[in-house]
Amino acid sequence: MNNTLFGWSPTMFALLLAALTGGILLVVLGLGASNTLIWRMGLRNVARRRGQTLMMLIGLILAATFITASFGLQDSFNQSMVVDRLMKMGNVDEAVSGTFTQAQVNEALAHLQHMPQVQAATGIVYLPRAARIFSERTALSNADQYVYGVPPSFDQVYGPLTDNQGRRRHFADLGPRDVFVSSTVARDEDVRAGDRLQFVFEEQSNEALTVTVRAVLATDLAVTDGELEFDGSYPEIILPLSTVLSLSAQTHFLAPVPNVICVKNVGRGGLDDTGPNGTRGQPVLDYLAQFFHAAPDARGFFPTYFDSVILHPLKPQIAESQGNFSPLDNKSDFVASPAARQFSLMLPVFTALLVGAGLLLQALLCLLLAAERRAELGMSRAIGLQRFHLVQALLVEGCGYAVIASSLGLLLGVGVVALELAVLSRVPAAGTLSSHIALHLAVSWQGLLASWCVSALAMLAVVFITATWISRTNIVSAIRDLDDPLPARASFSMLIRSLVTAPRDTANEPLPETFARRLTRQSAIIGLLLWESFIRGPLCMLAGVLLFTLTARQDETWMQQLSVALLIGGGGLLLSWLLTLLRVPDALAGRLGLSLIGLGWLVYGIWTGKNLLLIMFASDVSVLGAHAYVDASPPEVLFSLLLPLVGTVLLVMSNVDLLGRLLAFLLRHVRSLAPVSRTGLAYPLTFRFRNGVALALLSLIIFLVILVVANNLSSIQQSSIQTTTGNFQLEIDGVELDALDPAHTTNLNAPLLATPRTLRQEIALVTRMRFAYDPHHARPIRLSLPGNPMYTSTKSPGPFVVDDTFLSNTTMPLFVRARGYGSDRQVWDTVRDRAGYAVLQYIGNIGLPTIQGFAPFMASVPQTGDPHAPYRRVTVIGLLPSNAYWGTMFFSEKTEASIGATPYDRFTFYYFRLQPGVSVSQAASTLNNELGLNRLGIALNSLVQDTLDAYTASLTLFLASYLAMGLLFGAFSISVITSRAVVERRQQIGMLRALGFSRGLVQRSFLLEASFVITLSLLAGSLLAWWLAYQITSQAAQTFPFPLGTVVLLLAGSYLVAVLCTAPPARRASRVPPAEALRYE
Amino acid sequence: MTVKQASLLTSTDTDQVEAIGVYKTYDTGKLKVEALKGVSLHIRRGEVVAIMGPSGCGKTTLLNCLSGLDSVTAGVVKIAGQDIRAFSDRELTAFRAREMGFVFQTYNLLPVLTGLENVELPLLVSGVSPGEARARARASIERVGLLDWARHRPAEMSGGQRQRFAIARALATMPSIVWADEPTGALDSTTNQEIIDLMLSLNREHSLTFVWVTHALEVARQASRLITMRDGQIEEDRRLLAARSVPDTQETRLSTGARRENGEQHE
Repeated sequence: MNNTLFGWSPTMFALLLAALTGGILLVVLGLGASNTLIWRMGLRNVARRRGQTLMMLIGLILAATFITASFGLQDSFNQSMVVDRLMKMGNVDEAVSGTFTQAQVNEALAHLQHMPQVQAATGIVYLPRAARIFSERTALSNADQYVYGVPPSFDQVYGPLTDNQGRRRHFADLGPRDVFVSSTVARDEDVRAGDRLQFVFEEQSNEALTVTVRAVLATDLAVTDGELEFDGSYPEIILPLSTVLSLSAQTHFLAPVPNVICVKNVGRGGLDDTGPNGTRGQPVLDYLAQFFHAAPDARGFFPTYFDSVILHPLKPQIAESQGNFSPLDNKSDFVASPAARQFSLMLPVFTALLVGAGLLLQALLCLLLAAERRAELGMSRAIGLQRFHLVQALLVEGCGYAVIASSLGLLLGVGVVALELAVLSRVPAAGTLSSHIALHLAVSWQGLLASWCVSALAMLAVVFITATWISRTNIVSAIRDLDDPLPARASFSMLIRSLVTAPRDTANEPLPETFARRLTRQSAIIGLLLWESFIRGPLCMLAGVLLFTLTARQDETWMQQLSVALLIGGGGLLLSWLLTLLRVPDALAGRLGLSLIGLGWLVYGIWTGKNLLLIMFASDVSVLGAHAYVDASPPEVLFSLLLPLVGTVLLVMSNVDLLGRLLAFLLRHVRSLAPVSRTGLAYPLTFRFRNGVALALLSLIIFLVILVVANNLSSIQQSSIQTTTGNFQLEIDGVELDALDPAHTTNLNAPLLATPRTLRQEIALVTRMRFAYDPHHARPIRLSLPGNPMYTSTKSPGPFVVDDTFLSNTTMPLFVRARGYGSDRQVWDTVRDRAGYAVLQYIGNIGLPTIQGFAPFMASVPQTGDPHAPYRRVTVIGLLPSNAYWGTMFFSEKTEASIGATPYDRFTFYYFRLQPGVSVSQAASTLNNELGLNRLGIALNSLVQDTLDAYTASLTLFLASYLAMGLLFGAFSISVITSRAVVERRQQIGMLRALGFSRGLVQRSFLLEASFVITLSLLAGSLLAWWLAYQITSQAAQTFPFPLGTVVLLLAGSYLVAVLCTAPPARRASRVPPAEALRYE
Repeated sequence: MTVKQASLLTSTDTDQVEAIGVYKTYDTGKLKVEALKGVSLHIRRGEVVAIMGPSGCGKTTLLNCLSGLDSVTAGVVKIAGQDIRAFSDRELTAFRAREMGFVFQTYNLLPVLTGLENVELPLLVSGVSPGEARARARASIERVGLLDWARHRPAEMSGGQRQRFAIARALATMPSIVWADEPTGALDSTTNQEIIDLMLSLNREHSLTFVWVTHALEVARQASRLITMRDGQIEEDRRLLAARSVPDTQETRLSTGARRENGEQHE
């Protein structure tokens, strides 16, 4: 709750909400005070039906819980972020970075130390991603280490420093060959206190410096805004400044001068140092800005660059600056795991959907209560209660529910936030740039107040709408408990005539009317005209056109999608109306119109939401090409998920009678169900609106759960090493190898290729790949596809020449293969054995084939890396999946020779397949020990994605569990509809009992009715989810490993929960005494 | 139409209810049901009119249309000289609260309110101050002889007691007419007669107009006028000689109280 909304501060927002809620509650209370009887009626009704009150309260409490959890989770994320940033920056209040001269540093420090606002200041060296370390204990090498060179005086600036054991440490204690390492180094690189590391700058060719780890710090350090605002985790090696400066002096590529000046203001530390209204911090910043001609980094580059001087106003600006912080946004997790994308993009939408489901349940319960009290409501109207009296009484009752539910939901919501944070804290890391911020519970009072108010307001709004609807009940029908009369559909001409002429009765006699009656009559006619125009199509289409025109120049694409959805809806309604004018039977016209709308929404929803769905669900976003990082708003996400589903539900509900008839026909042949084969199915077909609502609710939850689970589990299976690398687990990176001194690596080729013989216990195979030419200035590969598109390889800058070992042994399944090739193996063998053939990785959006049996096509490859080199043609006969580790073209050495290319020796990569049962670390250790790779500065990279898979699985479980709570809403809503059916059909139940239906048969009839709706919901939701997951997966691979067992379990569990919820009302129906029920007739 | 009927249809200054050529058609889309086919009648102030007829003849529809609970398809309905077709829903509701009382077969008391609160309700929604509403409600309950039961909720009362409270509620606003649809339909014969006696005594003491819809001849014949309906039309409309003599109101109260003390079973 630290961000702003509509330009209001959180405090202002919360107070405004409180004022609005308080005002509404006061109005309701005031009206109640003016008529205490209505007040009493409302309050006593709360406690009247305890079971239903409890169910309503559970639904509302859950809704309030989700609202609170939504505010609370964001609050906790934001607060955790602030705490983490403050920990990382220590007591440093301001900093300035850049490439300085020693004289500048000395002068600035001298001035700063004399400023009355400054307690301490010092210069440090900060070099992001500058070094590589090799651990002698683990034999693992790690590149891209962040280096800090700190003087002893940095203790006075940074403040208290603790290690991961909680012990105080001092930078001043570091000896020339001692280092501290940050918590990320310990966690991700398995470095411990006492380890000996070989430290070397990335671009340094001299001998490594052996250092000892004196302590693992409790946190990472960060004194620059790029690192702080990225909220990442950084593998940092902290050395004495003198050591770094001496190494810099040896390398000749680093100036031996501090590049960051850090300042601590006078104060107790933390945010206190900036002084009231920044009185201490601002003069320091002013001085630094003026002295260095520096400005804050408006572009927020990460990592910090030193080409220009940047001012870092750390406290309070950087410490507290944020939008809505998420520990997953903008991190490698977002790219690597679909679950992370779903968490970031869909969690707010899930929350909105669950809150909406809770409120819908509340509306259904209100209507159920109204059905139960129908005669009372009718009588109340008969004896003189106006409609607003009924609304008032229901609002008072609603206030009771709202206050109780919002208050309890607040407590539960805070509990849920704590639970969510505990679960999220246990999610393993997805990648090196993941955020490892310690999450802790921190819900602000503004968040709590806003949650309470939003919950209460939403509930009161639902009560008000349903109460207004209920108050329109027909008095006579209500008193006599008759079915409400069907609303007659008036013709346009009649409505217009009655609007402009004085009213007459059917005998054409003029009707007298008071002014109030004329006003209400004409208002009602205008409303009816609008409504009839809408449900017949024209007004709906007009609304669509208007909305489209108004939003055409705006960025809100969901508004345009809504306008097209309105146009489709209007078109279907118009067709239905026109058909009835052509004397087509109403039922058929309705079926055709609604089916058209349903189909239209389904197709349009998928078509328009395709990119967004791919972003949220694709296992690897590289498949999407240029559209990978669309910043989707929650309404857009909501729309892309809801529209196809609502279309499906409409399609199902408009044709459900056909299914019902078929089912009834089949059930007639089951002896025990034959008597209920009609009664159990007739009602769902009759009350389609309410059953449609329940179906939409339940199928929505099932759709989302199955989509998330099926897609993510399938993604995990796709990311198996068999698929991504063809079963090679270790890599020596050719680019890193090329950066080393050639003298050290020239003779390495033979021993590496011999490892399957020399290290046969660990290594099964080794394969070698290299760039076909120097890729740095080469012309791009061109494809002979429509438009002759340029092939922009996603992960490698040029084609790879792969050896025969790889081509013979890879297990990588192709995304698609060309016509005439019966298996993937046949394709690999052809690439190996015949010159002029190649495979390349599939990338979306450039016109590559997506179906098996495509016609082989030509690709033009430059002969060399020269920007003017001629193109040579190869035939592409297969496409690698988009999640393949190598994002480029593969061809063999034979093909390389056939196109006349000179073998290019730089950038050679090696890949190792391990013997079964050998772990990656075991193989890496052996390779290091036997070949001395570490001494040469050669790193072994693991290609196994176990951690990423565990991360995806954990987040998927979190999302599915979150959504599963919504299942309760779906199940409750079906239970409420069944309860309402029992209330409304009391006399009919009595009649059935009189006709000879046993209690069991009555119960079975109701259960069959509920089962029909539940089954339809499960089928609609899961089939749509399966189809979408299949479509998304097929963007990356031909096979779709559908997690059938998990899905079947989910569906069975959902069915059971929903049926169990309908059992009590069905039992109640079976216990209706026939004589009493019939007496009402 | 008989001469006697013709005289009853003639409008006079003392007419409480005036209906001329009332039609009511229920249109279900495919089917049109004519429930009333041009009913005309006048009810004078202080009359007790019983409407009888077989099921489906339109007697309840007539009561609903005359009382403004339902709209007419054609025809004129005037209550106390005012054409109720001219009213908006809000005006009609206020008019009903002011001028009419209702008694139904199933009592239709609000179960969450006590007997006293049920009687107070129409007064409060008519804008009567809470203090006066309480006093008038108590007086109304006293008239039906159930003051001791004022704090009880309907679920704790017998059928007869509930119907008495329903009558008290109908009387509370001091209406000029009370519509009663099968007021004794759910009661045993003894209680049935007590309710009839109560209504007749109120009629006599306060010149209240009562319109009863009933199936029961023994109820109908105690009215001062009997309208018989068939197929949506008035078949016969005649004055009865005299209502059965009713015991004094105080006596009725005493006898009710005595039965209660003897442990009458709740329905």
